[in-house]
Amino acid sequence: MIYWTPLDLDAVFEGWDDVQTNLLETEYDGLLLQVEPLEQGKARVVRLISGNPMDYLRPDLAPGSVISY
Amino acid sequence: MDSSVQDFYNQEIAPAEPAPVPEIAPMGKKRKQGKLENIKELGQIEIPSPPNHIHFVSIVGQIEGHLTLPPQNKTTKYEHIIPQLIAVEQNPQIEGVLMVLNTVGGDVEAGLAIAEAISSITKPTVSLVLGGGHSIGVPVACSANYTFITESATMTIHPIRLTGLVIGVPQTLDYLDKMQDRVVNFIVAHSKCSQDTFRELMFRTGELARDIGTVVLGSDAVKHGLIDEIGGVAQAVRKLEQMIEERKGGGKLH
Repeated sequence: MIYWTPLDLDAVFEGWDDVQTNLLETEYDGLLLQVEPLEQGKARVVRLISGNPMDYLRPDLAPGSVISY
Repeated sequence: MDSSVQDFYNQEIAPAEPAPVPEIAPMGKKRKQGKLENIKELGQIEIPSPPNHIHFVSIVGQIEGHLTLPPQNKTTKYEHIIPQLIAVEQNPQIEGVLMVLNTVGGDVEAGLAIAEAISSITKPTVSLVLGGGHSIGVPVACSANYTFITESATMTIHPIRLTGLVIGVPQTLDYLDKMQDRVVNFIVAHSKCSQDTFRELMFRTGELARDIGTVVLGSDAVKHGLIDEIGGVAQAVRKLEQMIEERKGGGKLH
């Protein structure tokens, strides 16, 4: 892996060990999503898994957006 | 104190009505919920959008590679950007791409992947460097058909480095050299900057406090041929619109 940045790599990789791995796969609107569960049936999208490139243009499925499932 | 002011302070304050709890919309009302979410999370209302023929790509923070970075990093995820660019190529409603960069670099492979995807799109692409486009941000900025940088923006050009275990053998240097060539060749092929100028900028000493290399200011980036023109949002959008018109009229991309 080659990381090329003027930032201090210690700052970039700080907290590397305690990255949480509590991720779920869920179906939302007929599409498979990898999400990080939040409170009350909500989840933050981590990754969209779809073979249709048009799905990636949907702002509600972008990584970081919150969905109810 | 004026009596009316005193009255104002002495009046009994009616207990405030409890704020209405926003109903959580069921799945079917996604749009409405999205608006609510926008207000709650970003403090912004949704602006009604006219049909847009420009796709906007923003490259921010670190360009994330094959490992997920810890959450203090703002990241650009290639696994989302690349399918978007494929959709842009396919979708007849999208006629051009505007890419805005404010990035501190990141993974070489992911950065090159995004850069190659942008450069191989047949629709007009314009990039604009705002703030900074450092390290691997340089080839990403160069990948568009036409490139802009703001006067105050900078680009840090410095040698690439290896992270993790480095074995002290001559092959390590060869490998590093090869990786560096990938980046340099891409930049030279997609900008007006010559191989010699770029390598000179990359290996210059005495400019960076803890590294060798150069911080190239907006106007210098244009002078060295890395970027086509100094400009901001308006210039970038106007250029893209113009390129879209030229393409519609059967004109050739520059």
